[in-house]
Amino acid sequence: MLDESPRKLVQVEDLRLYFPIHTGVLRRHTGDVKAVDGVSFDIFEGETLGLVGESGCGKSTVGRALLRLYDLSGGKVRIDGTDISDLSVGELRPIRPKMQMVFQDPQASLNPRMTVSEIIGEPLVEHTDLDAAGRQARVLELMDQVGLNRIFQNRFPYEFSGGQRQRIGIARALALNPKFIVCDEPIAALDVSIQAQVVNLLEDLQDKLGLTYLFISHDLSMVRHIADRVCVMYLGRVAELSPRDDLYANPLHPYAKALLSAVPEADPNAETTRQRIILKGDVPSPANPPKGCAFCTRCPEVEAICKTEAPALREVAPGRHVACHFVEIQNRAGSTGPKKPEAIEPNQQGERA
Amino acid sequence: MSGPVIHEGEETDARLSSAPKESQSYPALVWRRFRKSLPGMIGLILVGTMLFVSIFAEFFSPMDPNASTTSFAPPDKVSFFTKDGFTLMPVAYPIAESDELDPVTFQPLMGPDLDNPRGLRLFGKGWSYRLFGLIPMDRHFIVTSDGSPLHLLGTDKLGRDILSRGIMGSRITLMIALVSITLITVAGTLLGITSGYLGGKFDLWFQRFVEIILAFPQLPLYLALASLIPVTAPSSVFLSFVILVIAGLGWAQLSREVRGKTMSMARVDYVRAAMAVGASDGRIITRHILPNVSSHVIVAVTLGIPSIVLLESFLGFLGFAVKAPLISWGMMLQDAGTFSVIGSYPWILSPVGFVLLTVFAFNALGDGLRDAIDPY
Repeated sequence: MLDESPRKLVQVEDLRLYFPIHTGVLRRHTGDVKAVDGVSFDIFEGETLGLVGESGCGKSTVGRALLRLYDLSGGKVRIDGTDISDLSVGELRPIRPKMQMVFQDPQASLNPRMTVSEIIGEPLVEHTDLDAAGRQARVLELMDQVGLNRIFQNRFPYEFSGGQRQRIGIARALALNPKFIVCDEPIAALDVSIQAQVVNLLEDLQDKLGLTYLFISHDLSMVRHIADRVCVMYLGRVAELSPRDDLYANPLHPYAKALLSAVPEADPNAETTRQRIILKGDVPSPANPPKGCAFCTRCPEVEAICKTEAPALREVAPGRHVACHFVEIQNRAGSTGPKKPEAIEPNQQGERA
Repeated sequence: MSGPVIHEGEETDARLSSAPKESQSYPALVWRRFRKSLPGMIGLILVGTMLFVSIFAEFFSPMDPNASTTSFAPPDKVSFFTKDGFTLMPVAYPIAESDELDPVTFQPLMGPDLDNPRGLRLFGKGWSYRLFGLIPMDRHFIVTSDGSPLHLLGTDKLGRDILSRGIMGSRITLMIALVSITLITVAGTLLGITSGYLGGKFDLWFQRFVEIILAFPQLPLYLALASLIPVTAPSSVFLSFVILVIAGLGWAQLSREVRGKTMSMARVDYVRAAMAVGASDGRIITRHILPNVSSHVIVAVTLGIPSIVLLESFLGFLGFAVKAPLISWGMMLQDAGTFSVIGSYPWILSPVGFVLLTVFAFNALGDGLRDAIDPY
C-alpha cells in the first residue's frame, strides 16, 4: 500500500455476490448472475474511494453488500475491524450506526408518508435512548449541518427539490455519527449545479466529521474531483485500483484506458487531440462471464492467455493495482500495452462515458 | 443540544416568511383531490345517505316491514293535485280496482282511487319501534296523516310493504358487507404483508394455499356450507356463519394484491434505507410498508363491497344467506322467482334497484378514491 499509516476502516476480501437463476417448473437452480465476483479492496480511514464502471458492472451491488443489505455469497467484509460477512440481522444491528448509505434516487429513498423530522429522526429512534425533545434537537442540528432550513422540519419529502431531498438523505445517514458512508450515485439524479452543491456538502462534512466514503458513480469527472483513490470495475471484477491522479494521468488497464478516454475535455485544444478508444461489442452477460479475463471479449490488446486465465489483481507500482496479464510491474510511465492498439472502428456500440 | 441560532437572520426569516411551516395532512391532500371527482362525490353522498338510512332504518320505514295488508298491492300514486286543485304537501292515492271492466279482457280496471286521497306527513306517528333496540319511538320520516297504509313501492306476496322491507333489508345487507369486508381487510392485509415481507419458503407454500382458495369453486362451497347449518339455528348464528364464509373465501384475493405491493415496496430505496439504519422488521412493516400499501387496500376494499352485496343478494335469492324474520335484499327477490309474478307485479323487483344503487354508489366512491388516494 502507498501509505501504511492510516488505519484500514473497511477491508473487502474476495467479495462475491451471486444472484441465483431458477428455471423450469421445479425452479431448479441452474446458474448465477455473478454480479460481484471476487472483489478485494481496502478503504482507509478518512479517505474517499471512488468506484466507477459502466452500468451493470456491479458497483451498486458492492456498495450494498458492504452494508450487508444483501447476504454475501462469499468473501469477507470487515468494517472497523469487525467481520460482518456472516453476522445475523440481530448481531448486525449494533454495528449499523457505524456505516450508513446515501441513495441514488432521493425521491425513492424517502418515505412519502413521513415528515422530514421523522425521516431524519428514525435512526435515532432505533439506536439511541433520546426522548422526543432530544431527538428533535438532534434533528435540527443535522438539518443545520446539511443546510436545510429548520422551519421545514414538518414538511413531507414531495415538497422539496431534488437537491434538498438528497440533503435530507444525507442528514439521515449522518444521524448516528457514522464512520463510513456508502454514497451510491448520490448525484446521478440531480442537475449539474445541484450536483456540485451536494458534492461540496459531502466534502465539507468529510472535513468536519472525519468521514470515510465509498463514492459510487459513473460520472468520471466528479469522481476525479472527490475521490482520493479510484477503483475501476468491469463485469463484477476490479480492473484497476489506483490513486486518483495516477489513474487519470496514466490508466494502466486497457479497460480503464478506454473508460477514461471517454471523458470529454473542457479545453477545446486538448479535446481535438483526445484519442477515444471505442470498444467493440457488448458487455458479456454476468450470468455467463467469459473464461479467463472478464474483459477479453472486448479488449483491444487481447492475447491467447487472456481467454484461458483470469489475471489476478497485482500491485504493479506503489499503490497501483491492475488485473491484466500484460501490465509490467514497476512501469511508472509511458505506454504499458504490449502492442499499439488496433485500428479503431468508428463504432459507437459499447462505448460508455 | 439545539444551541444558538445557526443561520444568520433566521429569526427575521421566520418572522417574515409567508411559507407555511406545516404541510397539509394526508387526509387533507386526499380530500382536495377527491372532491374534484364528480362520480366520487356522488358515490360518497349516496354511500353516506345509505349508511345513515340503514342505521335509522325503522325511522325511515313508513310501514312495519312484517305487518301484512293487501297482497301484491301496486305502488301508491303520489300527486300534488287533488280534486280541489294543487296542494303543497303531496297526497297518496291507493291503487284500487274500479267498477269498470276492460272491454277486451273483462278484468276490472286498476287505477288510483282518486276519491280517497291520503295526505302525507313528514315526521308523523306510525308503527312503534325501539330505536337501536332501546328507545321506544313511533315517529317516522314519512307516513300518511290518517295512519292508513302507505305503499310507495307496493307490497309483496304476503302484503308487506316493499319499501319498508328494502330499507330494513339494507341494514342486514350492508352489515354483512361491512363486517365481512373488515375481516377480509384485516386478514388479507396482515397475511399479504407477512408473506410478501418474509418471502422464501413460507411465501412459496403460503401462496400455493392462497391459490387453492382462489381456485376453489365458490358457489358449491357456499351452498354446501350453508346447508350444514340446521334450519332451526338462530338467525344470529346463520348470519355470522355467512359472514365467516364470505370472509374466509374473500381474503385470498386481497392478500395476493397486498403481497405483490409489499414485495415491490421492499425493494424501494426507503425501505432499504430503513434496513441500513437497522430498523426492526416491525418498524419497517408498520411505518414504511403498511402506510404505503394502505392506499391500495382502501380502494380494493371500497371496490370489494359491491361484490359482497351482489354475492349476498345472490345467496339470499337461493335462500341460503339470511332466514326470516331477518330481511335482506336477496331474500326479498325470492318472491320474484317466477315469470308470471314478475309479469303481473313488476314492482316486487324493486330490491334489484336497491342492489344496483348500492353497487353503483360504492363503485363510484372507489373510483374517486383510486384517483385521489395517492397524492404524492
